[in-house]
Order: sequence, then structure tokens, then C-alpha cells
Amino acid sequence: DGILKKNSSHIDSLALKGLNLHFTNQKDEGKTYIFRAIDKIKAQEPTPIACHILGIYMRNVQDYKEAAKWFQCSLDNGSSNKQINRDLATLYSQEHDYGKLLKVRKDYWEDFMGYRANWTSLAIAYDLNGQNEEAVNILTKFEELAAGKLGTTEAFEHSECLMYKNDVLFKLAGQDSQKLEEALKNLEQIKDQVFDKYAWYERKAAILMKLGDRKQASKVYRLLIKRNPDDVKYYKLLEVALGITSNDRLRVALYDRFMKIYPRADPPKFIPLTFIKDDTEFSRRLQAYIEPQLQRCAPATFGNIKCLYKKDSKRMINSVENFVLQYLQNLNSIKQPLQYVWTCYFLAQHFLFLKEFGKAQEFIGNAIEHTPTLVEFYILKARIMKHVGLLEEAAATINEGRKLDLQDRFINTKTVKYFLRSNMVEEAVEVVSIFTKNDDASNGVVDLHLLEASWFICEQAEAYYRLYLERKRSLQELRVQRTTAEDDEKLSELSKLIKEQTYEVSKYKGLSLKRFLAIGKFYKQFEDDQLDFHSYCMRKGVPRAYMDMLKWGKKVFTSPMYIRAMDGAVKLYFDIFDAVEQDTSAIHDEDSNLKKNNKKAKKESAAFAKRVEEDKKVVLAYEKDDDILGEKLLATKSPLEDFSKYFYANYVKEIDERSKNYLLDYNYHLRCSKYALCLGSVSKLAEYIGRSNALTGSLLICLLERVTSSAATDEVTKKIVLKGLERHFADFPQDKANEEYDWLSYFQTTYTSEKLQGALYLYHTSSVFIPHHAVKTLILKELQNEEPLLQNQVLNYEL
Amino acid sequence: MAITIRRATIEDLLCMQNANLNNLPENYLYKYYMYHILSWPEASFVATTTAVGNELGTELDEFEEITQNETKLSVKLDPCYVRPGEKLVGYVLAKMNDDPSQQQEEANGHITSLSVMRTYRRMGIAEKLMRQALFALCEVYQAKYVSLHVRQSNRAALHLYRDTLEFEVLNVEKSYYQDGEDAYAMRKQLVLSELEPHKFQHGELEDDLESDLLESLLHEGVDQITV
Repeated sequence: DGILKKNSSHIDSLALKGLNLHFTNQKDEGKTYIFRAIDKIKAQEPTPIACHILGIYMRNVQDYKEAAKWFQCSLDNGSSNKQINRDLATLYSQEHDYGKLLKVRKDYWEDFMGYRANWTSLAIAYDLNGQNEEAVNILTKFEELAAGKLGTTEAFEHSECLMYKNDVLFKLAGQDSQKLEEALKNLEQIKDQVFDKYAWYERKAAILMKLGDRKQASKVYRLLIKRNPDDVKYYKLLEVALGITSNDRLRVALYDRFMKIYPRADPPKFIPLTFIKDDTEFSRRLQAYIEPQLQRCAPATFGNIKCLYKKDSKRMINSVENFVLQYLQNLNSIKQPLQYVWTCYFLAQHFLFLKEFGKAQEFIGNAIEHTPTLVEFYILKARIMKHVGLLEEAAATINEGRKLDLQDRFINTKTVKYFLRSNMVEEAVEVVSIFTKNDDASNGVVDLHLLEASWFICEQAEAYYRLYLERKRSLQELRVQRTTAEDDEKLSELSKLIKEQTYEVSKYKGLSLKRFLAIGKFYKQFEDDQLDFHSYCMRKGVPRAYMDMLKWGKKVFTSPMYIRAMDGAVKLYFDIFDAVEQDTSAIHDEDSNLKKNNKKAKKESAAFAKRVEEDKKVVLAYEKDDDILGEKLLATKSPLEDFSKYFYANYVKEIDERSKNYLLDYNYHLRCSKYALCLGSVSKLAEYIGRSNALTGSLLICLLERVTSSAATDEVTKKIVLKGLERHFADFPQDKANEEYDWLSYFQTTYTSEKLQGALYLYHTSSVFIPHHAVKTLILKELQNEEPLLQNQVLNYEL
Repeated sequence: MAITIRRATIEDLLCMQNANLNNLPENYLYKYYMYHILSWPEASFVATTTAVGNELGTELDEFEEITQNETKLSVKLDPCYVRPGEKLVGYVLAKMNDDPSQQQEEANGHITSLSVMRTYRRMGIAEKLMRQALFALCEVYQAKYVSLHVRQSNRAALHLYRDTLEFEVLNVEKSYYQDGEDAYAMRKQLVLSELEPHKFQHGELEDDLESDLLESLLHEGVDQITV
């Protein structure tokens, strides 16, 4: 402060003061000082210390790129602080900037050769840059230096590093048999020092396979099976090694043999079921597989064979029904009560899978009537009800089951999920809070956020979204009613309801978005969680696990729950975007006629404010939060940018071409008016789902519609898209881009699969070529063939 | 779906965290799972369903023979799924004791958490997971013994540890858990040769790993096998 008083542009002091303020919880003020310092740097050379401070600040606000820049700048300006290299290495690793990483790892290694961690780090940096030979050399050099000097405490690290070097040798060898021999030789040399025998034997087998010595390899796979007879992978690899993958007789003989050697292992019993073609033999083996499990009352008996239905459902149905129904008949429900009820449970699952809901209900009903105390039965009964479309009844049923075992969290979780699926959020929160740490909060929502409980938060977000849609619909109805309301009393009553409903609409919408974003935050956190491990793993000496982490770190944002949250959030962001586009000025006319009775109005608004405060307590997600209901999130003026920032950019960066969600891609580009990119997305999508898929068709129609009817589309874009359509979809009648053409019948006759999905897309997006009501009729027709659960979903939330 | 027991990798951790949140009252942040897998990469195991036939692409590709058809497999957007067709149904999270105040102790392991989804019980999954973990703690980390805690009310777990896996109860720790429940502190001495997982198969045959498997299968005759 003293220096700053004399010279208000002293960079070192500005930066230091900024950092100080930041760490003493005056983040905003700190930030202004930091940026004042950065501003000054443009005009004058910074000192290494200033740069270092700025780097520390940037790392602390998780801007790793910027942090790396300043650390680097500090070094370039002559800093003598050698630890900066290590910090910098961490940042480059986190940013996957391996080129720069190599340089700093090398510098640091040169300064501190006395630590194995630095040798390992350097080898990894070489490896990451594809310089495998250098990596091997560094590792070998250290091995030579350390020979005979390692104690027992270093034995584990040594084992890991030796095996890592063999990883690199193996990678380096490719298909080169001479190099493979070298890798094998190395492997044999390190055998006694490597503790990770699974990795060691797996590697040995892999090298032998590549060298064509399958007989020896098969022996290694047998050994691996002996170590773990429950890993399907080893059996499949053994088949390959023995060269019997296309000889089913030998395969059966092999698995029969293994059944005798490892009678408690699952794969030898199960795998033959996946390839035996003879019906009688299949039935016999299936029976032999199921019966002991039914005897043991294993709840997963059905789940274990479910995938076999996909292969040949008719044969499967015959076998199962012949055998299990008979088996049930032979059971005495009094003498073998457990076997009896669990077999009923099995059959209920079988019929549920076949969508024979009546039979499924009958069997589970029998089971519960017989033994009303088994939790699993209520789970299944609820699941059947869910499919029949009775969501609330399903929730009530599973809740009954929950009460049978209040100690069990699994049933608690399931119950909560069912409550949320039927939009009973309050009940869900009450039940979930039984197992959370609630402290000062009124329920477990804060704790579930702390514990990164994606399952709950995502389900809750989806429930809030459905509630939002429901409230929005009733709000519209109320508005219609108001236009026809006759007397004042009715009018003011309606206005009050509208005010309330407007609040609810915005509350549920905001909460839904807020919850989806909470999941995005978790994944950002998971990505950040890696930071400490870039140096930890080196000290600990676990290069292989570390390499796995780096690989994982490059696809954090492609995890199922992240994608699911993104799919949820995008609907809301598009909703906000579309509303901004259409300009919703009509909605702001409300409160005007409410001012008549001032006193009453005051009282009402006080009660309303109180209610909002109550709401906030219940839905609180973070201890300190200035946007509990997500109002600020909804108020965004740039929904597409927000979506990109919070979800999409991360996803696109990491997802591989094959797994990408091209529908989302298309929708995003459509709203950004990037029609040429839309064409790219739909072409890609068509590759995967097929050209006769109705979704392909509806995307093409919507694209043509936008391109030809929007005045804002420039001629060049239009040309590109039309040309592209001609090239990629020659059959598509793009020249008929007008309303006269019978697009509906074209759509119906051309696209034969997934009609419902396609029609729903048209319903939401198209309006010009195909009349809305016609699409709706089509949807209703298609819906008739679907199960009740889906029917209800579409009727309630899509139409 | 056959159930596979295999070593846990970093790609399983999210599902492990989810399974833990679904099954047990003691939960941990993701970073704590990372800490386990990056400190003791060979100690933890998972049980997953495997859709036999299409999930082995990467490993088998290397040795040709099996060609993948280019169908697009998409993963279910559900927190239990590690990858397409592969659902995590149980896990054991294990570590070595690294308490700095107990450095004098000989190397010993600790079971941080074990659970199997309720709908996958009575198939011996927990036992198989534990057998692999004990074997690994002893073989890879040279643990001389392993310890764990179990809720006094958890009879199934107590049965597994005490009767099946032969742990001994050391003592009762009063209000060990957050909710005030007592825990049994349990311990098992580890001897590698006694831990080999195949020893608990009780098969009528044993694989000597040397004899010619194909020859002996053919010798027994495969002509009468129906496929």
C-alpha cells in the first residue's frame, strides 16, 4: 500500500494487492487490481515477480491457459525461481499442451535430477509427444543409475515404472516382430520386480499373439482365467488364441470343460447361450442356467438373460415359458415359498419385457400376495405400473416397499426417482433427505449438490421441466379465460391466478435450468480435480494410472450424465431463444388491472413475497446463492452463447465423430442460422439412422423451409444449401419448396421408420410446408401403437 | 448379460460414485475416488454386465479375426452405464493404510467401501469382488493384513466378512458412523497362497496350465456335441 500511494502504477504492488484481496475473500476488488496491473504491462515491461503473481491468481480462478501464459512470462523475463517450471508443467498437462510441457519438464529435470519423479515426468512428456524412444532411454538411464540402490519402500514405484516402460516398448513395436521380441525380452527380465501380475500376463499374451505364437498365448490366457474366472474378456481372447472362434463344437467343449474347473464362475455357463443355434440344446442349457438361480432366489435371474431375447426372441420366449411356467407349477408354494415367489417375480419380468402388462401384473400380484414383505417385488410392481402409464400409483407402490426396509438406501433412491418421475418433487425431497446430511438446511438438496449426486439433480431438473410445461399450459388457458371473462370479480380472480401461475412457470423453468447447470458444474469440477494429480502421480510413481487419467480427462464432457443434462438444458435455452425471437411483449400487460383495491393488493403481495421466501428455503441448492430460483439464468440475453459456454463447447471439443449427437448439432446450427452446417449435420445423421428414417426427412424439410422462406438468408448460403441437398439427397424434392406441394403425403410415403419421432420434430419446428393440425393428426395416429407410458408423455409434454 | 468381475479403472469411477450414493449412507467426493485409483491403481474392482459379442472391439481388433460391424452403439444416458451395454452393478474400493500416525505398522490394506446393487444380490458378487481385492492388496501391495468396518446392523455384510471371508472381529467402535451407529472393526491376516481366487471354485478339475487343451478336448470327442 505504501508503494502504491507513492506510485499508483507500480505493477508488482498492484498485482500483489490484487492477489491478497482475492485470498482474503474480496474477490471483486482483487480482480480490479489484477486487471489494473495487466493493463500497465502493455506499456511497460513486467518484472518476473509480477508475472508470477499474476500466474498464481489466474490458476486460482481456474483460468489455466492464462496462468500458464504468466508463469511462462515470468520465466522468459528472467525469473530464477525454478519451482515455476513444475507449476507450469502442471498447467500445460491440464491443458493437454504437450509440446510446451516437454520443454518445462526437461528444464526441471535438468535442475533436479536427484528425484525419480522428474525422470518419470520427462519420460511421460516424451511419450505424450510421440517420442517413444526418448521416453524409453530416459527410463532406462534411471534404472541403470538406481540399480542396486532401491529399498523396499520404493519397490512399488519401481514395479510401476518398469511396467510403464514395457508399455512404451510395446507401443513402439507396433507389428515389428523384432521389436516385439525385444519387448518380450524386457518383460521377462522385469518379471520378478513387477507386482501387477494381471498387467504382466496380459502383456505377455498380447505380445505372443502378435508374434503369432498363439499356443503359448493360450496358456497365458488360461492362467489369467485361473486368476480371475469371472472376466468374459479372457475367455473370448482364449478362443481367439486357440483359433476356435468359428468352431462352435469346440467352443462348447471348451466352456463345458471350464464349467468343471470353475463351477462358480458365470462366463463358462453363460457364453454358450449366446451362440448355440440348435433349439433343443439351447433350451436345455438355458434351463440349466436359470434353474439354480431361481433356486437361489437371485433377483437378477431375468436380468442376466435379458440380452438373449434380442438375438432370437421367439426361441427365447418358447424356452422360457415352457420351462419356467412348468417349474412354477411343480413348486409347492407352502413348502418352497421363496422359490415360488421369486419364480413369479421372474415371470412378471418376462411378461413386462414382452409388454404383456396384464400377465406381468398378475404374476407380481401373486408374489406380493404370497409374501408381502419383499422389497424387490414392490420395485417391479411399480415398474410395471410406470409402463402402463400410472406414474403416481407407481410412486405410491414403491413407497410402500420402501417402508418395509427404511435402512436400505437402494429402495430409498428408487422411491425418490419414482416420485420425481411423477413430478411429486416435495415428496421426493422429503424421502431423499432421510439419508443426507442436512445440518442447517431444511432438506438434503444442498448436501446432494455437495456430494455431486448427478442422479438426483438430473431427475429433479427433468421433473421441474415437466412442471414448467404443465404450468405454462395452464397459464395459457387462464389467459384465454380472461379474454372472455365478464364481470370484474371474475377478472380480478383470474388476474390473481395468472400472477401466481406466471410465477410458477418462471420458478420451475429457472429451477430446471439451474439444476441442469449444476451437473455441468460437477463435470467442470471433475476436470479440475485432475490438477493436483499431475505432480502427485509422479511422486507416487504411477505413470500408467496417470496416462489413463489423461485419456479420461479428454472425454469428461462426453459422460452419459453430462450429455443428459445438456439435452435437458438445450430445450430451455432454445425456449428462451425462441421467446426472444418472437418477442413476448404481449405478456407484459398483466398487473395493470390489479391496482383497484390498494389495501387488498398490498396484503396479497406481502403474502406472495412470503411465499417466494418459503420456496427459496426449500429449493436452496448452495449455501450462499444469490440466484436461488434461477431468475438470472433465465434473464440472459444470449441463450445460445450461454448454452455453448456451459455445455456445448466442451462437448463438441471432446466427442468423437461417431458418437456425436447430430440432431442436437443440427438444432443448434438451425438457431444460429448456420444452414450450411445444418446440412452437414443431417447428412451425418442420415448415415447412422438411415435415409428412410422420418427424422432425416423432417430435418430436411425444416431446413428447406428455413432456407427458402426466411428473408434473412443470403443468396450465397441458399445456393450452397440447395446444391448440397441436391448432391447428398438427390431424391429430395427441393424444387417443390412451396406450400402447394403435398409435403405431408410425401413425408408419409417416403419415410417409413421412426415416424413418431419425425412427426414430433415437424410439429415443434415446421410450420410452413405442412399444416400443424395435419402433423398432430399423424402423431396421434402413430401414438396408438405405443405403450401407455410414451403415449402419456407425448400427450402431456409434447403436444 | 454375463457378469464380469474386473479391475476398476478411472473410467469406472463415476459409476462407482453413483453406486455408492445409491446404496450406502457414507459418500465421498469424486476426487476421493480419484485419489484411490491414482494411489493404488490395482486395488479396486468392479462388477459389470457385459453384452457378450460386441464390446471387445479394441482388444480383439489387435489380433484381427473378429470384425466389428459398424453399428453405432450409443450409451444409455443413465448413471450406471460405463459404456454401451456395460452397467456397473457392484464395486469394492480398496486402499493401503497411509495414515501417517501408523507408519510403524506393517503394510496393511483397508476396504473403504463395498456395495452391490440390491437387485444383483445373492449371486456371490460381493464375495468375488472381495476375493480379488484381498488377493491384489497382498500380491501387489504386500499387505500383511486388511481391515474394514461394518455396521452392527448389517447382518449380510457381517456374514460375508466373518463367515465366508474369515475376518475376525477386533472390537466394537462406538458411534463410528455419522448417524451414531456402532461399527465392528474387522481384520484378516493375508497369506498370498491362501488367497488365489481359483481356490474357492471347488471344481472337480484343475487347469494345470501346461497340457494341450485343444488336444484333450478333441480327444474326448466333440462330434456328439449339438450346437
